[in-house]
Amino acid sequence: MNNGNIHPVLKDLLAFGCGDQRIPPAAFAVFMDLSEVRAVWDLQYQFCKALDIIYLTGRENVSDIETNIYLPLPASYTVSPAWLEKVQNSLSTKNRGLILAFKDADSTVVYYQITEGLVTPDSLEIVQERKASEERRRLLQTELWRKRSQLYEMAKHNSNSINDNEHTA
Amino acid sequence: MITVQISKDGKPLIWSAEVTVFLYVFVEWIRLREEYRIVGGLIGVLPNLPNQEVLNGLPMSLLPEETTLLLEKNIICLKTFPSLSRCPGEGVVKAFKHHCRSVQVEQADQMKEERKSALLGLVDKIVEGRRRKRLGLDTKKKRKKGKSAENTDNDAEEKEKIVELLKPIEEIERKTVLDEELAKIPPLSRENTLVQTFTTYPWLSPEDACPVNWTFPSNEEERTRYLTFKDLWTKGFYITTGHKFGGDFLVYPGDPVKFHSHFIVVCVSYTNSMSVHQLISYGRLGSSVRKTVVLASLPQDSSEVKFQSIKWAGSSAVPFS
Repeated sequence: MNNGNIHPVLKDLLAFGCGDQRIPPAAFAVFMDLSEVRAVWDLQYQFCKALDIIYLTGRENVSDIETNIYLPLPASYTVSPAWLEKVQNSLSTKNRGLILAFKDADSTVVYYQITEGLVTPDSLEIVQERKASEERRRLLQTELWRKRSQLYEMAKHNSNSINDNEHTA
Repeated sequence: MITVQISKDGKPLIWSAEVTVFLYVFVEWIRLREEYRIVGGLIGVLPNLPNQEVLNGLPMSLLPEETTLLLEKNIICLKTFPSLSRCPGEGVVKAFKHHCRSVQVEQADQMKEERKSALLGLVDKIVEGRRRKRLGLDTKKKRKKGKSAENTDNDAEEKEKIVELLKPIEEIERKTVLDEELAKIPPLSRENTLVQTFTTYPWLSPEDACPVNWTFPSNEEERTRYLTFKDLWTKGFYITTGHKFGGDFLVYPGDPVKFHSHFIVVCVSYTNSMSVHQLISYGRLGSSVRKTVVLASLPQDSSEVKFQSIKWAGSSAVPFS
């Protein structure tokens, strides 16, 4: 394998020396999703030798004080309550949310937050608010998609004019 | 102390328990629910609404966890009545027959009483009708008709008859008529009487009660379930069985009649691993019904149950998800 052609992050992840061969690719997929799609802030990755897992840390929003711990696991992984507790204790998740990120073979990633104790479900108002904000985001995206050629032309035109300016200058 | 009747039915009804515990008395049912937050399950038919299964009535069946908890708190005592599964003895048969007869007689008396009070209101009319008949007077309607047809030639005779008709009714006349009418009532036949449906067995004597050797929880799995139930109950929740949502328990913040449940509790082994798919399906279930799925497990050599709440936190941007 030509190591020069692989993503530097994947290179790092592979270099951790994780015993479970399935973990680094899962961690990489989760890293890409978190950094590129979900745009998580201050995304970092670390290796926990005792548990033989790679975990990522980051904040969902720039204003968040609380960091989340993302734990990438392949979909073929198995977990037990004892193991979950061990993870919670060794990663000191007391004040941080622990989010398991399961990566399937088709590179789908699903996230589940695991919290010790009983967590009351979100109230109807919160759920409705979240749905409304998702709806707004979806609308914005469709709008952007619909006007993509227009935007593309605009961008091209602007860059051309800048280039022209540069040439003339 | 509440006595809960217990009946063996041979087949495993609740969580591999061979026995189901039933409670038959309304006041005790409401007390268990209001005072002790024990919901149980109503499995009987409401006497007034027998042709539906939306609302059920007594008896209430108790979960093994509820039974053990109530026993531990010294709120109930379990008794079994072997006499209930035996053929009824001569004494009981006699008592039952006597009871049926007395119920029938009571109903017949009641019916006569009601007929009499109805007749008392009508007796004057009956007397008047009879007089008319005797005097050959027509009813008002007929008379009107007759008058228009033929002219009144025997007015004097008619007047006399009317005077006779309007004479005040003597008490004695009233009484004879009433007696005659009452005699006409046919005796109440068996088919027309109501049959009592018993909601409790009336001929159970306290001497028939035998103690029950209650063994739940008897293994590690049952112990996890019981301690989970007890822990949640101690925290002040109402707990029902969770079959509806594929869990062990449904946990309500208040009476299930007034609240939606908050948690679906699944009891699992502390050390046995489950596949990620299993975990995802729990999380998915919880998010689709707006409840938190909680894994409950019991570490070895411990009596403190550990809870883990699973909450959906999004998925990668997959189309059609």
